Amino acid sequence: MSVKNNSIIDVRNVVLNATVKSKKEALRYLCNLLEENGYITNKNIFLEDVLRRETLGPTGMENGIAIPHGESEVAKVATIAVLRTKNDLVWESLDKKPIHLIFLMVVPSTNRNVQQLKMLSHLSAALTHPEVQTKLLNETSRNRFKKILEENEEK
Amino acid sequence: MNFVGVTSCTIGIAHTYMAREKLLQAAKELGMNGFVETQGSGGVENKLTEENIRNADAVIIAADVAIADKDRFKGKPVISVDTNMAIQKPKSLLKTVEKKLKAAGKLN
Repeated sequence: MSVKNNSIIDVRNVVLNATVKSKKEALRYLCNLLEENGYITNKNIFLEDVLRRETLGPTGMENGIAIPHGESEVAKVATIAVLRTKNDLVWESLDKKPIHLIFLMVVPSTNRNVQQLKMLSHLSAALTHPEVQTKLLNETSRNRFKKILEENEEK
Repeated sequence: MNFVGVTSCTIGIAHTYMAREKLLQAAKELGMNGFVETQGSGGVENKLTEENIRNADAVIIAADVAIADKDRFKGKPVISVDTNMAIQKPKSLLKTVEKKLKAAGKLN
């Protein structure tokens, strides 16, 4: 039996062709998904925690990618949920471009696993690399998308 | 220009690490030597060595919160910005720092 990679990405939390109208709807969609799949215990509280972080400054980065994140008591384990939208969303970003690929990072405020937090951080770093951005913006398979992220967790 | 940097943000997951990447990418493009330490939720990574600091012409702190261990930089020019500045305009930040050092006669 092979040793299973301790990935922080669950393919069930990756959605690559969503239709949502607004930033808030996108975040709510991801919070629903995270609750459904057992990563957070209360989607409403988690959404509030994410929105509180949003008030501190832009989480929209470059080339249509946003990295909202919430540190929360209702987060059970560090993970990341992904939503790529068919349409552009109005979202404050560093290059002033609209957003269509969202990585929502889930950070527990208690029972923190440092290794998992590091994986999230390394993913954040990788998301600034143009070649990684291009791959993720164009990948159509959820499994391959997950794989691209996993290749960058350890770096 | 040789510089060292420290990045840190409120939650310590995203901006800390993006700022580091952007600073290092920009340094490479500008032919500068940079070492950047992250102080994030996973603790300190890429910790600056004494040698890194000794050889640095400047210290760039890109942080949204107070950073730990600032005493190490005593006697060095320290430039403080927020993480967004480092993520958004890393090249212009590095160039501005270099220009200021030159104007002050602290860099040839």
